[in-house]
Amino acid sequence: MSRSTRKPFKACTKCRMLVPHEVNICPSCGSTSFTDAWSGVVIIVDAEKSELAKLLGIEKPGRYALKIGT
Amino acid sequence: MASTESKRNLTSQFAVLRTISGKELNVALVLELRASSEPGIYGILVPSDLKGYIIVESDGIHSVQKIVKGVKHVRGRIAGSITYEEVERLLKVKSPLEELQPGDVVEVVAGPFKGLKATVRSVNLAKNEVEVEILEAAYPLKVFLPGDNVKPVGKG
Ligand SMILES: [Zn+2]
Repeated sequence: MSRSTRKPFKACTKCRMLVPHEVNICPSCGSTSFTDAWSGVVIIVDAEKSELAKLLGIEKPGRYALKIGT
Repeated sequence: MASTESKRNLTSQFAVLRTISGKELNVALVLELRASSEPGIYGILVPSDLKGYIIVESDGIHSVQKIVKGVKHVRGRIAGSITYEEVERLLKVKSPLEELQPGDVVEVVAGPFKGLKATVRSVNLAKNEVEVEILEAAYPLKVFLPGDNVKPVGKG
């Protein structure tokens, strides 16, 4: 396979939300700082009922990186 | 830790799905889409160091079965479930605290000092707590913060 393994999303370095590469402002926190160095994903569907959201301190539904950095 | 016990959503269950290795995120995104019409699904976890597995948080196996049916790259049926404590441990592995050392510069990413830079003074992994000195304060300000409230920005 010669296809690049570029990630489908970049992560907001502030709130860890995952967004498409063409997005310039984080829809969740308004930050303009993003990184491709992230790993692990959590998708919060129901922020009120989700224990994952609580454990990770996430308040809004969406896709988030578990970890920022390499 | 015991103090959070009472606030826990005890109906939450964590089902483990096996996927083709490398397709974990693809599967999670398909499940996310399907979850929009299935109120029993609360969240989906793709741990970075657990290749070939994803975890679906829901009100029960029946809800997971509904959205998993026929999804590509899922191997077999629901492989089982893990406990809240196991999920906690899985997430803890990612603790950024483990990479922090005294002298490192961090950015506070949550709480009242959000957005400010700080220097790490000490790290308490067991309590998931970090003691920092806020750099942009008018006077020396030392505070203890939960580990998840800081993010490394560079070595001191
Ligand atoms: Zn953000």
